[in-house]
Amino acid sequence: MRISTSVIATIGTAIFAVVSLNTPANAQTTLTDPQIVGIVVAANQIDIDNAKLALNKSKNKQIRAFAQQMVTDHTAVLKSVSDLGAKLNVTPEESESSKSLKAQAEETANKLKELKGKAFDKAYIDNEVAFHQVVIDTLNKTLIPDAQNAELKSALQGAVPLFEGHLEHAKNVQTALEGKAGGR
Amino acid sequence: MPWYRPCNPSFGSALLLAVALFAVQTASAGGKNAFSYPPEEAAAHNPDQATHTVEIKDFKYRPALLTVKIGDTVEWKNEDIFPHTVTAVNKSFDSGSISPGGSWKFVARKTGSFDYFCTFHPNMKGKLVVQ
Repeated sequence: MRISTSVIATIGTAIFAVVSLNTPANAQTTLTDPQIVGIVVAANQIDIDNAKLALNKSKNKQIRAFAQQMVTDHTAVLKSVSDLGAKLNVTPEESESSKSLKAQAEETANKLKELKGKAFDKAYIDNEVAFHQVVIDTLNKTLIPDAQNAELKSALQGAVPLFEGHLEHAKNVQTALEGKAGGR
Repeated sequence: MPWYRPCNPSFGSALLLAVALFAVQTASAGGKNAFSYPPEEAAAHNPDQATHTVEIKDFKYRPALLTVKIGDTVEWKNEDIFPHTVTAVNKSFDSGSISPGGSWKFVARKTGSFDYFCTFHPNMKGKLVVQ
């Protein structure tokens, strides 16, 4: 329980790091389109990596199905981002936000790697709920408002329902796992 | 007035209704009756049958609400880049995963109102009404 809370806290910090870049105090650090694409690529890759970890570690059917879907969906997003980037001539660029996101994700992954069985399943799905919530908030509050290119902005807006769908699915899995634990 | 028009439109409608009712009766009899007349065939013999298409795009079913007649075919086409499902809340139908560019269809054999969703993205919701 304590572990998964700290995982969420870690993710929360990462989100805060991304969102806080856009506070009025340092409004001059508005993200550029290449930096936005860099963050989108990083976020998708993080979720794919976590899902692959879950496919390696979990025996739970629902967790595995969810993780497999994350690999499929986020791989499709990465392809469309890469296609759009090529079309718009935008090359993903690192930023403090993407670096911080990756560093925090690595920390989360290391914590997940230490866990097994039901503890892993719970920490993984809790993290997925928190992560998708953060990505949705970051898209709405930072990435979409900052995007300069209209097509990029529209693609980011189009991605919101995907992340919302994953969030709802993750919450369903979370509830199902809790139900099983509570029923004993 | 074209020469080929049926003399009495209401007679035509009554005939269609009679056939439709027969199809309903056959279907509700459980399909495997003395005539071994499966519901699929009953539906196929329903001259009123139509095929309706629901497009799945941008995480939406379009149209989100579709009303059809019993015996009609409904086809869902996945125009998104992600797999989706068409799953009735009451489990009366479930497409399983429909790949991007793929489709799934079924013949509406039961009347009622069916809320459905995508099991992968449960924020996607639609409704099928079979009359």
